[in-house]
Amino acid sequence: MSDKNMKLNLKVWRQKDPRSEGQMVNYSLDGVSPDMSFLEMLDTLNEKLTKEGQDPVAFDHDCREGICGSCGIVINGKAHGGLGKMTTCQLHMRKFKDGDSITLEPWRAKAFPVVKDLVVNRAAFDRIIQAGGYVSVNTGAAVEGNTHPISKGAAEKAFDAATCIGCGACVAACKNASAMLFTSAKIAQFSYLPQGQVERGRRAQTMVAAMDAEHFGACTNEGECEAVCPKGISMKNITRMNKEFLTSSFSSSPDLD
Amino acid sequence: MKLDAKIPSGDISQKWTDHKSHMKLVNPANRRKHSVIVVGTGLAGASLSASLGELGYNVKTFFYHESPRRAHSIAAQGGINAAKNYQNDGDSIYRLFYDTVKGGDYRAREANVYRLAETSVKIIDQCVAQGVPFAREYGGQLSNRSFGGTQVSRTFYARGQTGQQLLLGAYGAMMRQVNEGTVTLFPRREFMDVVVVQGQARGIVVRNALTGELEAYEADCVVMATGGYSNAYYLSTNAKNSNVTAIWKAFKKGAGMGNPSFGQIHPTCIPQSGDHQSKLTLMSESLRNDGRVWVPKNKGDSRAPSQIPESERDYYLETRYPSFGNLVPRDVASRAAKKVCDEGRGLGATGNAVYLDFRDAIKRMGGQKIAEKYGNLFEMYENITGDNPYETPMKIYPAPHYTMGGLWVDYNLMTTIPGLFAVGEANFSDHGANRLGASALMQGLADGYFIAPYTIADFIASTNISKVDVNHDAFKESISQSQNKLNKLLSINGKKTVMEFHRQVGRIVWDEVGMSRSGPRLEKAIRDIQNLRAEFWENVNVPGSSQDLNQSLEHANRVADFLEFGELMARDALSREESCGCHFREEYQTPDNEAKRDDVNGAYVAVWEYKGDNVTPQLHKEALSFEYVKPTQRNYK
Amino acid sequence: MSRFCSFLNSTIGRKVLMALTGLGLALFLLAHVAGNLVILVSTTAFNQYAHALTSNLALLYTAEAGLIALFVVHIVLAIQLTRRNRAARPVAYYRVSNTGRSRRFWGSSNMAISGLVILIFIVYHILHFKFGPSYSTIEGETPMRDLARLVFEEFAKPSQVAIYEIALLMLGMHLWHGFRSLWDTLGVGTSRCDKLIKRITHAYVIVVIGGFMMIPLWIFLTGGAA
Ligand SMILES: Cc1cc2nc3c(=O)[nH]c(=O)nc-3n(C[C@H](O)[C@H](O)[C@H](O)COP(=O)(O)OP(=O)(O)OC[C@H]3O[C@@H](n4cnc5c(N)ncnc54)[C@H](O)[C@@H]3O)c2cc1C
Ligand code: HEM
Ligand code: HEM
Ligand code: SF4
Ligand code: F3S
Ligand code: FES
Repeated sequence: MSDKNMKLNLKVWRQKDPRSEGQMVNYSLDGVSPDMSFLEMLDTLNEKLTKEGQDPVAFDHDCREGICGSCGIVINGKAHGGLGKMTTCQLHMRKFKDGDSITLEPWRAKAFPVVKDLVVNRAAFDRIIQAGGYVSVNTGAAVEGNTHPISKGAAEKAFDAATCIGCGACVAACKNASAMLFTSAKIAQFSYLPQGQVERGRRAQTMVAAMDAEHFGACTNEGECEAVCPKGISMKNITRMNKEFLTSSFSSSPDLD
Repeated sequence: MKLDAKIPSGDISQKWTDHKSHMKLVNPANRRKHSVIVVGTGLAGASLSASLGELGYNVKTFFYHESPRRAHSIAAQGGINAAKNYQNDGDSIYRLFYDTVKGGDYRAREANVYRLAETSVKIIDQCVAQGVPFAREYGGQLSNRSFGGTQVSRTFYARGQTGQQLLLGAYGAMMRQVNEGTVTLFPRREFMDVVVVQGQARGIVVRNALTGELEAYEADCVVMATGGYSNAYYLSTNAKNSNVTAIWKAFKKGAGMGNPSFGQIHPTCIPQSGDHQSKLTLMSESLRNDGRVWVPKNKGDSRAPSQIPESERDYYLETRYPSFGNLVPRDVASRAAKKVCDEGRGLGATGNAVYLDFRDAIKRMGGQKIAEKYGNLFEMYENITGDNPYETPMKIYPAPHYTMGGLWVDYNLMTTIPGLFAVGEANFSDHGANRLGASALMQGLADGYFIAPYTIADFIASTNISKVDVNHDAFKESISQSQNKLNKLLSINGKKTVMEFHRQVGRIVWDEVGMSRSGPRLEKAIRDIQNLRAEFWENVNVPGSSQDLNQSLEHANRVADFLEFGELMARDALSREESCGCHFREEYQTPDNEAKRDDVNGAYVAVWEYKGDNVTPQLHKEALSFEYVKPTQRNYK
Repeated sequence: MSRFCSFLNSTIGRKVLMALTGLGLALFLLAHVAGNLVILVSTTAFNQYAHALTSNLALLYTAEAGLIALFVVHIVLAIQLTRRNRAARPVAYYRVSNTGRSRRFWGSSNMAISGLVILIFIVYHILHFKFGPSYSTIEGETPMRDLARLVFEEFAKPSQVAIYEIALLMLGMHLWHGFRSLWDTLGVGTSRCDKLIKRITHAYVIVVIGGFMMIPLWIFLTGGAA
């Protein structure tokens, strides 16, 4: 095994706290096994730094299987490494070669301030959901589950949109730091389902307003978000959101006043 | 410690209904004045926060994640059970109740399990109403699949991401309440202590992970929804930050700890690939429907699997359990894998892996069909291991996955500390000694949506809750204790990293309190953990300061608790002199190496009471009686 | 705030206006290239066509006013949105690279630059042609401006040809991305018609930009033989 181990040159963004200036710092790391995940490689670096009396690199992570949305590093200029349908925690070192130089940067957006090193604060996403990313139904008020048949196709489409993990790679990869892929995925999910119809127009209005209030950029339809999205959320959701927003802006529904 | 399970009287099918009808209520106009602290935003915590918020209580919700949606529940894959009987295959509330009690090897409380089965039906309705995109049939109806150990199809699912979809539903409902102003979120707060005033849980102390500040919050009551502690094993399928810290602190304040040694080891996980390994990934149990499990017959056979002729392969599950074959329950499959690996027939560099082979299935159904069924799992496997399971058999090995043990609660989900509740995986729960697949999600949501909101209201309405504020001495003392502990951790400046200690304690717990346990080895484990703990407090190296985001410090704080908790796990395993479910004591087995239960002496919940640091905790027993489901020996031969 | 105001204040609302004005401008270009291509067939017809357009002053001023409005709205919004987008990422990446699996290319990421070049070009272009030397001629019975001569004179100069070709390349990139993008912005480019829109965009750009590019090149290479 050990003969396959790699030596890497890492260039990592180090920033002490939100107020400090940060900078790229070089580290060289030996003995990286191709079987390691990217985060295990960082664990190894941190063990080494700790033993050397240096501050380990802070990075967000939890599930390490691509579903919680915690992890997120811009690797060599691409969010999550840019392979698509993959989070940083799922990326494995066999995708790199001995002697490679790798840059590691945090998501960069005004709406995602850096907390420390590679950790950013994505609470803006929660506030977007808070503005309307749900069906307003109180516990206990539900009708029998099979009351409203939902076609398989609609359920699948809704699911495709619903699988967003809220990682923020779309924002990181977008040149405009736009959160439209994230926001549209939620709006689109409910637009396909009967449960979502009652609040459909209102939801589009309140969620877009919340998104705008967070200082994200506007989409120019480049689709780099879709290309890095670990769940392959289609940019066509943005198209759908635009339509939802447009129709609700000019609809005469009394709920919208 | 007095254990009163407060099980209502009456027929099992009426207990909950009757109980609900006699509970005290809080006037809607007054609810705003009552505050509830919820720790955790997994299925249990999020659904509870949402429901309490809707009722009008003043809810404060704490979690260490950056966003509530990242709670570990998000990772659940397979599905959620409910006794809907949509498939007309004879399912019923009673049958789900029966299966769960039996699956738990008769170590769960009947009344609770019945209520769980009863509530399951409403959970699905609620989730559908929230827009959870469950799988559907062409006719638009909800679809079901069958899941380990049952003969009916009652599992609802959303592809392989059921937990995610359910959690996003509960999260949405909670965020709606945040918008309404009834729920306030406190992200990136690490639970440090529960504060008990005049015998009641009246608040908590948390560490703000961003500023390092210790903050105190007060409320009428406190709910722990902090999930499971499989990370005591270091390597598990749990999220990296899952911990025992929260419930351990509650234990130290007087809450009884139920069945701490009951942990489920899931048979089909991707094996460890090296020392760098940080966690294990679950491969859906459904793979055992078509894959065949085997190891070489001969020790140390290092040939490639394709070079090993049929006659030299040991399909050990099929030979040992001819009627269930590869589909035996989780605990049985896991133990069998361990056995063959212990015999030296395991695979790979570590010797801890068995084959899960799809060769025959591919031959029978064609690669196309297999890809349709398991395509994304195969992809995930290849991603992690670099091997293509269409060509070479998968390697799998059991891994810690779920903990049935947790804070002991009565029928009202209240711990032995008045005003301190526990919901979801954090309580000792309804699963006895073994949990059936797709039942944890059900339990978390049952607790959060439909049980705790009632019982908490009842508590508030019927208890004299005096005014307390965070300047009370109990809060101050808690803060200074917590601060001292953190300062101590930072000041040791030893030679070993936190990770090294976590690996070491995990190794001990895995070897001795894992799939197979024995008296002498458990005694040794207790000593080993004690020694390791002593070493930890002298030789751990925690870099950085306590004034900002310090992930090493957070980790150290958790490992310190695992180092205490691991010992309790071993003690619990040692004290239970029988084999049941996940708990296999080598001394208690049938002649053909199967688990041997002792229903005369073993039908109890072990509840541990804290007696002071470095003092052996005291064991109490809640006797279990089985009026409806009579214990029988499980047999899968 | 009325709903219309909040629509105009939203990012999506502004994008929609951007798309509508962009579409208007793109349609103008289609007409303009058609009209201009006439010059390669017959200078007489070209002059007559230009004359017809300019002699009806009411029509001319309305059209010009409309065109100016399209430009102004498009440009004002372009500035607003571009500034917003820049502000959304105050700290730049140390390293940026593309996945290569999206619509992103230099042109799509630099709409403001291509737009600016187009703006400068248009001012230059109008000064040269509309307000350039006014030769007169008589086509048939009618005296009119000999625009064709002006165009031929200009495109005999290599520098002019180069300026036009470069500007047109920029415009081509602007539209390669913009013409496709606008349908998504308007909410019509759903997955079902995405392929179609892509083809239409490519056809549009090839025809319009190709057509424009042909004119200076043809005139220059043939030495104004037609
Ligand atoms: C890989 C995997 C697959 C699974 N699949 C299934 C399945 O298919 N079906 C099924 O029924 N079950 C499944 N389970 C089990 C199920 O997912 C869990 O039991 C369940 O989700 C637990 O939910 P919870 O709400 O109790 O806790 P969690 O979801 O674990 O949430 C814990 C919460 O508590 C907070 N918290 C924890 N500790 C602290 C602390 N110290 N300080 C502050 N906050 C804290 C966290 O921030 C988090 O919000 C699976 C489990 C795993 C690991
Ligand atoms: C004939 C001239 C022009 C045409 C036909 C045109 C056309 C378009 C079209 C169709 C779009 C896409 C809109 C969308 O996707 O929603 C667009 C976008 C853009 N245009 Fe223009 N444009 C022209 C001139 C200009 C000028 C002069 C500028 C700036 C000075 C400019 C700046 C931009 C910018 C920055 C965008 C990107 C904004 C976005 O996509 O949201 N354009 N243009
Ligand atoms: C080779 C290509 C082109 C030729 C030969 C050409 C020719 C002309 C001529 C002769 C006029 C003057 C018409 C008049 O005064 O009556 C004119 C006007 C104009 N052209 Fe072009 N043009 C070309 C390309 C373009 C391009 C690429 C654009 C836009 C980006 C453009 C935009 C305009 C505009 C806006 C006017 C002014 C219209 C008015 O106000 O009446 N042209 N063009
Ligand atoms: S849309 Fe994709 S990239 Fe964006 S947050 Fe969701 S999962 Fe991440
Ligand atoms: S990359 Fe950005 S421009 Fe739009 S399509 Fe994606 S948000
Ligand atoms: S750590 Fe959860 S998605 Fe990567």
